[in-house]
Amino acid sequence: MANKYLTAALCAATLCIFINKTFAQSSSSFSLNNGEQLTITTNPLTELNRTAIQNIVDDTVFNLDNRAPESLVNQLNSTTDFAAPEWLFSAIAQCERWHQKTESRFSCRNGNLKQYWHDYVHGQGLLERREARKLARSARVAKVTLSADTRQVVTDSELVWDFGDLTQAIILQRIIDYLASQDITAYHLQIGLLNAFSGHDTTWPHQTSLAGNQQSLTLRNTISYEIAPWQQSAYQGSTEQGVISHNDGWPASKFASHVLSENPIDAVVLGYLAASNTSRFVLSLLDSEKQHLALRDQQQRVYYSKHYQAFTGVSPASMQQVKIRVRLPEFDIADYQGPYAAVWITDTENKLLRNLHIRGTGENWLKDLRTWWRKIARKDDSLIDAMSGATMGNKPIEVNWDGLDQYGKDVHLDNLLLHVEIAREHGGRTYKKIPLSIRTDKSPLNVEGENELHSVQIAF
Amino acid sequence: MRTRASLLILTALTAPQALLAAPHSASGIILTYDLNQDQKLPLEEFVAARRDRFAATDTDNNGIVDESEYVYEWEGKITQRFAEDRKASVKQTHVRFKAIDKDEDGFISPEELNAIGQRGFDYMDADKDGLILASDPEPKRRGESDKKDKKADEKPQRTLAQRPLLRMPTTHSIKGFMDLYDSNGDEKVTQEEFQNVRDEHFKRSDENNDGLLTEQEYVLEFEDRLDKQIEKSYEAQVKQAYVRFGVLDKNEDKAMTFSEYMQSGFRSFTRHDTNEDGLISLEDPIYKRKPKSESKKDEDKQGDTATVIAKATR
Repeated sequence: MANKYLTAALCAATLCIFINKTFAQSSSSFSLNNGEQLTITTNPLTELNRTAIQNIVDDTVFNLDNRAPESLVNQLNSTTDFAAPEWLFSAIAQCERWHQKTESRFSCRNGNLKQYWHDYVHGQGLLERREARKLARSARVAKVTLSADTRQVVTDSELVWDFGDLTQAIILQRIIDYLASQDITAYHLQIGLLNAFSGHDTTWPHQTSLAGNQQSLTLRNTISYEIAPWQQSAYQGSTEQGVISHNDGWPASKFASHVLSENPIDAVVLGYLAASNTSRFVLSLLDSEKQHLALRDQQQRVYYSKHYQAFTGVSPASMQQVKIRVRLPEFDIADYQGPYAAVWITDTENKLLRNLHIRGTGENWLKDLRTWWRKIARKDDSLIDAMSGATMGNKPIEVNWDGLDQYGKDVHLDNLLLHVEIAREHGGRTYKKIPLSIRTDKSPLNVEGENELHSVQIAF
Repeated sequence: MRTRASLLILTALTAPQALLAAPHSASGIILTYDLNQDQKLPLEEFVAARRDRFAATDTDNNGIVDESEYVYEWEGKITQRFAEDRKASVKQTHVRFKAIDKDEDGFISPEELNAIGQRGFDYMDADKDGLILASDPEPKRRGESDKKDKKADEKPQRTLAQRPLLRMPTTHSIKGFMDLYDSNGDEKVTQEEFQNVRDEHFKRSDENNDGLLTEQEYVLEFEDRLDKQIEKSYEAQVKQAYVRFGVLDKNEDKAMTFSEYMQSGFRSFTRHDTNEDGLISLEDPIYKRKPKSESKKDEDKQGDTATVIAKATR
């Protein structure tokens, strides 16, 4: 308690930063002229700062507007060889990297496609899948050359750039850079669902609505972005909801997500990709040490990237750690392939609580896991995409179960069943069901298997 | 003959094939009218659902279903079915990609595609002379040798499932194979002709010309052909709806009364209630079109039903 008053006294005398305390300073708003606002929470800004910030906002919004005849993006689109200012060149370069990495599942090249949607929404044209795909393909195969030293962008004459999906992120990045140049190191920036939280000694409270309940997080030194595709129009004014998939021009609503990243553009791109692709695809793009992702599908099931829960401090009231280790036999056979495996937890009525692990990606082969396939996967379209991964020979399967069900909620039961099923091409199929009493009996278990299963060890 | 370059879909032929459950012929009528979803359609349920459907189709509520209302209602139904069929077809395409990508490196190489292609060609080429003729016998279906273990009186399982509206050209038959590969219309497919069509497909799919097909390249090319087929099938379905209305509209006044609508429904009901127990279910033997001589008997039966209906709809 005394500490708090001492700190407060010090702070009254000097402009200071609270240590490990949440930051409550003044908020300023800057309008983006399309109804959106940029809100900055930081130490009071000088008039000079405010003017500069509003200028950056106006400059970015204007210059990324395809409909403003004098904008930079229009100049870029009217010539095949264009020298861009640093902030725009940096955005183009990052966007092109994502374009390349994801085979155009994210793209800043889809101006023609966006125009096609615009015409449709304004009653001036039809919306046809084939045409949309054709426009997306055209943008994808166009040749673009970037020269970092001269900030030159050379493009096909057909290509129309569109940065609409990244405008918020680009604004944020420019403001972050400006604040750094002014030695303003403690801030919270927000446009819509895109937030930038500064680092150093400041932490920030933040609410997300993933997994159906409000989560209160404490964040610092990160960009946070949320998107729920089925709650938004694919194109402004359209009845179709979702996000427009950049690779085929059609709306998609795969996952809602909460993304944490070091970089605003990365955060927005990952959220967009989660909205329009399989979870396996998006998770494969993450640098899981530096980027974190929580996904929620339309059935309210949640999936977390490796360190999301640790990074955000999200955890249930009674966080279990059930350590499960499935050992596979050490055959000495030349053609030991796969095997395919599924590990899942149900209640005593075999009602699914959570799928923990799947090895194998081909639906044709996963069907050999007869029990799992019949009872779980067959009813569930998206499950294999969400969870399956490469087979790994006879490397043991190691899973830590955090006691949450597939909806991210605490499992309040004591008696559960752990199911393990293994199938191997040119081998057999072994299925084992292991009863657990996770609250009343925490003694470690060692269950011997047979055939394709060596043993299962469970520790609490 | 127009070249229709489509990929030979072979995984179905090369993977072990269980006897697939075909949709029961009455699936359509059951699925449309089975309000309580118990997979059975008694006459009462059918009448109630048919009445509801008339009311829903008669959008201007004037007690008559006119041509545009009839066709509009059908369009609504088929739009949904095409969407479901499309989704399933695209999903299968992803599965097919993974099956063709034998070394699992994430790309289909020309070698991998040719390997599948050759298996398909050989499968069709029963006499192994490197040539497939329109007059060749149908290839033996894989899995047929397993059949001899099945009991002679064992009925194949029938499922309650809609027949897909969307059918892509298939290579499971000689005709299908000819449609896809007989580019010059000379009623035979040589190895060379076959390979040309397949090379063309590869080239068309390979957007960045790097000699490899990514999953996206493979699937998006398929979707182009799929959407073209949907467009064609959709138009055909709409045309058929107009024709159907025309047939039902006996006095050609472009108006179907409630009574006429119910009667046409009953004809359908009677046709599928093959065991004549007043109930349509998976238990009814499959409806087969009868030869002309027997259709008189049917008309009489329908006459009886018409009397029942007339009473019911008074």
